Amino acid sequence: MTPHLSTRRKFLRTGVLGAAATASVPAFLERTFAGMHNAAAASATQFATGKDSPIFVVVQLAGGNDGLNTIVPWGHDDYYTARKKIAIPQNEVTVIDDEIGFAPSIPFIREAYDNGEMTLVQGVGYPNPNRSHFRSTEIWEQATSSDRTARTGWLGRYFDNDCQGADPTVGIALANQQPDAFAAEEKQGISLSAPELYKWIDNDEEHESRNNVFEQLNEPSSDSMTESGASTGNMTAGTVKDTGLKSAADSLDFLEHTALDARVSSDTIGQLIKKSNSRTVYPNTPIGRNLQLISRMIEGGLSTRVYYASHGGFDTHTNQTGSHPIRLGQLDDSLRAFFKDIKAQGNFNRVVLMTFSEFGRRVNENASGGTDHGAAAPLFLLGGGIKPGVVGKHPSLTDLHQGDIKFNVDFRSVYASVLDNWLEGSSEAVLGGKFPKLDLFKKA
Amino acid sequence: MLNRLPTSSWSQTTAAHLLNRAGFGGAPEHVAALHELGCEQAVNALLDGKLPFTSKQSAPIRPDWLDGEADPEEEEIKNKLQALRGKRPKANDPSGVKQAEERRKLQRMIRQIANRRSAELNKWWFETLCTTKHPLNEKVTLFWHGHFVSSLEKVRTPRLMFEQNELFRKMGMGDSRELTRRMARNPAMMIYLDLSNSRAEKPNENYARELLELFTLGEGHYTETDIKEAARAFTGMRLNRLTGEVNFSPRNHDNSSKTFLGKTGNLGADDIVEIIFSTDRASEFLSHKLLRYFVIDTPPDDLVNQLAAELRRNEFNIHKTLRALFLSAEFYARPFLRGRIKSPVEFLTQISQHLELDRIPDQLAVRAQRDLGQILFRPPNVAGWPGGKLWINTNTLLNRYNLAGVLSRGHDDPDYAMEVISLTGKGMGKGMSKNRNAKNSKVREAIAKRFPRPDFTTIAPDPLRSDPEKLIESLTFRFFQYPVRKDDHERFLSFARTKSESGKTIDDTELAELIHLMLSTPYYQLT
Repeated sequence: MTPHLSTRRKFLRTGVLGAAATASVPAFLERTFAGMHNAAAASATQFATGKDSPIFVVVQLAGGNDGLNTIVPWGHDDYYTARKKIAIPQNEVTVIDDEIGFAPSIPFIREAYDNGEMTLVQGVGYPNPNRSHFRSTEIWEQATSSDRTARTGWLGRYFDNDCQGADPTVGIALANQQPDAFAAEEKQGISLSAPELYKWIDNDEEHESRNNVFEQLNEPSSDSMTESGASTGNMTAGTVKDTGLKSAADSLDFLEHTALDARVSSDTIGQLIKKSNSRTVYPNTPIGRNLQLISRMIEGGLSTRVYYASHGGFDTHTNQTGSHPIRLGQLDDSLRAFFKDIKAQGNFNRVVLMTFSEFGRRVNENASGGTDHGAAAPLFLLGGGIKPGVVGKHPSLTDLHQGDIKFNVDFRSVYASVLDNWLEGSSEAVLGGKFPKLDLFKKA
Repeated sequence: MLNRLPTSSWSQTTAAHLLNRAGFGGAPEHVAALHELGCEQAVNALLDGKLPFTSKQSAPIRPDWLDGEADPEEEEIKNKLQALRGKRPKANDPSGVKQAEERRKLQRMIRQIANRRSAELNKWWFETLCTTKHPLNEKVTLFWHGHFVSSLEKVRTPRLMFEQNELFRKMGMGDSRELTRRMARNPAMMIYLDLSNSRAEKPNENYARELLELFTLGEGHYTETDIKEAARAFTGMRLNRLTGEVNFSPRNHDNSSKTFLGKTGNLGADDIVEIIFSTDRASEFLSHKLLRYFVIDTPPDDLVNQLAAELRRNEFNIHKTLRALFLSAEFYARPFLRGRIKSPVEFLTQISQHLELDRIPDQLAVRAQRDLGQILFRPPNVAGWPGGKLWINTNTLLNRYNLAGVLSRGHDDPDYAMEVISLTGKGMGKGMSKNRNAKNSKVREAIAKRFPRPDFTTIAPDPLRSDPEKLIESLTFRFFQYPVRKDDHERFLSFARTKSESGKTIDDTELAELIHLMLSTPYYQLT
């Protein structure tokens, strides 16, 4: 193997850009490395000056979280009338005001509220709600109106629009498949299900020669095959269902760049995961493990702007008094560990976490001690950068739309505030329209 | 008009291209056999399912429920459910609670049967794709599955998904207008797009919208009013979910006048389809979609128009249209050769043939479909698998590389197998966690069972093992059917040379390492 390649490998791992390496790397690599180097340098400065770039963590509560048994309208008799079996008794609710309070299964979220580290947004939804899991999730993730679909997600559009020059780890989803929210034209972030699998598996890490060959094979080529990819004339106009690959050369070029992204990010993440200083014990649940991973990546100084994780099991059609508090409790325990770490790292003021769910649930319980798919529900924002309090009014339990409470905050208003006032982006471009912003952040 | 491919351009490379696109790829001997036939005969053989070779793997065993064999256990549950139907006592009647409980219990039993069958259905089709004697027919079936989308996620009844699959298999190569008409009364589709309870007083627009937007015309070629009018024409079809029977109920059909795409009358479901296909746009839309699937992700306009003209000339007959395409010079144009990103299904079926695998174990096949992002019978949404660039992200690319390792190296490299097992935990390593010593003979046996066995003797017979140049040349054709970039060729070659220094022959484990490297490349993701 030529010696400069092993140097380059070390360089990739350490992120130190040496002049000697510059001279021998292809132009594309040089750009990538320079980009990474700048990002690394920037994040180092950020740590030193305290002017850190903001981080946004999204936690999806998959299945449709029952908002009424999360933030309990204990002051309304209608709640107890509608939910004879599954209502949370008044004496178990931690009161926020004479109308609402916290379910007993989320003590950490309640403490965060008491400490001025949490914002509750009430009655979040959208017009003409859809009650299909997949469709409503898509609506939330693509941030379209309910009669439209888009090819990209709201976070993907943010990466494309506002994160030019960022490296592929600008968005990291802890998921097997890329969430719809990350779908982008250019910069879709990365998705990984398990960091230990997010690499080219070989049985011998020290086997330099095999690994070197692998790395060379996965570099964009200098002797590209472009001669095979002469353009073939005008491209189909107005058809949006293809993804823009017109020839073998286009396809190979795209694959080579993804391969490089994969290698670079898998090296980075592999290293980061190993060197965490945290001793915090996280719950041994998927959401616990994923939030731990996110905390380590933040601690490691990745230049990632958005992390995404999902917590499932909220589709509580039957016997929900058993399952729902467990799911909420798993979330709550994991958040407690996560924010303990984030505070210890000194990153509390640059991290905001938001929960969302595709819909809430019916006001009336069903015959099986559960609830069916509904519409509007509350969501939480936690972190040092939020302006604490309660935003929006609790929706009426009697003025219903097909048995569901009506939304009074469009979720795209929440997104617009996050994009403009937290992520330093441009919500109009990302959301394709103007949505009234909410007063959610200190720095706004 | 499409131009005919000149006879002089027919080669092993073009034959391989045809087999990859009109089928699920093949081993070098298959490519050679197809090449022997000459272009026209090769195309005919693919169109008629009369290939001069068959798969090494044995055809899957058909689950008996596929062929409508009544399952007595299921019948009994259904009968009980049927009996409970319509009996809806008043809310405060105590016997009502009991009946509701009984109904839920029966429904749970139905779901358990459905889950078992969903797994059997997936396995059956996947293995059919790997072993079929008529690969083009299966490829066309998969095309329609991704076009007229329904998913087990919503349909939930595997038998109905299978019936739809069979419909694609039987009619998919024929008149696509007829297939489109049939969709409006196909039970799985009726459930998936809510046609089954669309009635005159309350038409459901879901099917009409997707028919126009995703199945036939594309956005911008109809108005919201067209959707509403079409939805009224589709009212009145009734489905019995328990039996899968479809009936037309005139009482629920909107019999008044409708105006659709400028045509007015008391239009019915079939009239809507006829009006759609009377427009040139319908042929262009289908042409674009066929080209995306068979030729290139983003096809050039003139090719879209040429194939659209073929569709119209051939009265939307897919067999005839594809024949014209596969015989054309345009189909074999240089920018399209190895220009498409393999779908996960293509990746899996091709790799299985390239490695001469006996078979891919069930659990691994399911896991692979999930990890690579294409689970048969479960397209992600009504738009189908988006394909092209969206097959690949950093995670799915690494998953492809690692899967290639599992398939090529796992069986003959216990250390590698143990590494994979220790990383993937459960799944692959089930029951093996106690003894991780790869030298242990029981562990080796268990590995051999879980990891499929490539036929290395066929892939690289002895003479090649001591001749790196010839070996790389042979493997390059096997895996890529096309030259690789010069640098990569050198890398493969120098790796092979280090393994065969001073006259030593390359053993199976080393060969597997080399192959894993060749498959862990951007280039192998193309077809």
